[in-house]
Amino acid sequence: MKNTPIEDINSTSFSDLYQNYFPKLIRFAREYVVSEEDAENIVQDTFLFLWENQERFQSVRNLNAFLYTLIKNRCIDFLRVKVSEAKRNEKVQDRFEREFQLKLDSLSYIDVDHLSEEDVEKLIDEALNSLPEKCRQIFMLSRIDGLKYKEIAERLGVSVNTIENQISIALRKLRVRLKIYMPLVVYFLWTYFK
Amino acid sequence: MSELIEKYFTGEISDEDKEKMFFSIESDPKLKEEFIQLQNIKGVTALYPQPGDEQWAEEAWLKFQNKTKVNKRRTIFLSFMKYAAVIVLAITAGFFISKQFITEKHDMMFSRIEVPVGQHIFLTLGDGSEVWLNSASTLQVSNEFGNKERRVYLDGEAFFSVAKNAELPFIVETNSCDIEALGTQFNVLSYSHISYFEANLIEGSVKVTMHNNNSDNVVLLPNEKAVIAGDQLQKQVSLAVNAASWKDGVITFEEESLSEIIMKLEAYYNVKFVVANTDALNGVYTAKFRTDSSVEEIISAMQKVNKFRYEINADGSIIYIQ
Repeated sequence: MKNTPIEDINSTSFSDLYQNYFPKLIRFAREYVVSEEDAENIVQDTFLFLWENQERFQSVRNLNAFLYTLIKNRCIDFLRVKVSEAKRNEKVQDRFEREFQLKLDSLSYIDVDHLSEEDVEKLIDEALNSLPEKCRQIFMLSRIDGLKYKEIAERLGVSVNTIENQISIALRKLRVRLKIYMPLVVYFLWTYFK
Repeated sequence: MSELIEKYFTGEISDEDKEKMFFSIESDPKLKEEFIQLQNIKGVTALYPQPGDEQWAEEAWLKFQNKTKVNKRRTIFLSFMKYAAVIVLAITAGFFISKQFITEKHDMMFSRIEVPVGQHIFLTLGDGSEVWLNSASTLQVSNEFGNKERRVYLDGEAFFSVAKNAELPFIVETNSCDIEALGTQFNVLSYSHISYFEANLIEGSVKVTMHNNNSDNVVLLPNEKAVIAGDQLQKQVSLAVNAASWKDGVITFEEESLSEIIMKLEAYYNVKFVVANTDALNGVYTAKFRTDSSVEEIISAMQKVNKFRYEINADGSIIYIQ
């Protein structure tokens, strides 16, 4: 995942950019906007926008950061609409409004500059590798492969309780490792977990 | 409570607990921070590559390329606009034409203008020639237009007023014939899905040539028309001004049989006629209608002259003549 200077955007490098980021960005967007379809639309529209306005973005140095910013902002716009829709609709429970609002708040804490300044993949790798092997394995099965605790427990032949404990350890470690992405919240967590 | 938040992110939380969790988060900033951090860890780890990404990305890229090709085509259309200096949307018999109804598709070599059913378009080509396009017609103009010749491709009906230029012949290519002109006014009716061809000359002269047989050609003088009878071109007398009256908002039938009229109505209104009463087809009509008349208004007026019955199906797409 190298930073691609936008001057290089001809069809080939745009293809690289697209194919490198498309699945990741969809997964990322889906974490916040919830629906897979909405996430796909947001990512697809963003690439279309980039493609159509290549000349305008000639001067963009760090394309990764730019791409993340676009996606982040579009997800935020989307969530704002969802929150106000939920507010207006009396039939929908507060739950939806709160959920979208929380997603929105979370996303606004994501530090896009940091996301792109460093090689994200490398950082996650490092963070994951810092975990004890079993802990890492369980975390990967849960977060990356999306398995439920019960499924992981069955697969590894351990109790659900063990899984819960290991995930909890992994999360605590990752929070520290990945804190540069969420600079504003670190302080609270630090005190909370001490 | 932290456990509930963790459960939320592994999708194992019940709706009831979810409600509880949101409620607690609202009143506890620390819980909120925890939620945000876990949410964002999930967000950031989503950027980690996963098996299957490559194939997914490749498929998506193919789809994306198709989308962007459409946009490239639009650019080509704009370069055609240099030649077609002006596109004027015609106001014919109160029809409103909005640009969104005009769709263009291009190969590398053509610009294409499609007229929706019930609408007319007037356009001026780069050489100053004027074209009126009738309902449900398509005109394609090569990007080479005006280089060696002035060739356009017509599927449907159009009236041409060709700007004089002896060095560059103006050729209208249709499904069956080429109509070649120098500087002149003529009307061509040739919808590819209807086996009927008619070229009416108003002014000047044109040469009509069959595609499948170059020696089969006729040269028209004003108030003559070319039709295809059997497989051959035939010259007939016509009041050509009537043939082109549609561009001024009037459909004119001049001593035409119902069978001819039906073919034109099928083309203009995108309807289908089913004729059980074949005797009715021989009835001959001379009539004028406004182009904004409905097909039912036309057919109901005609059945008062020569008696026949008609029925229209629910969505108006099929008309039965009995």
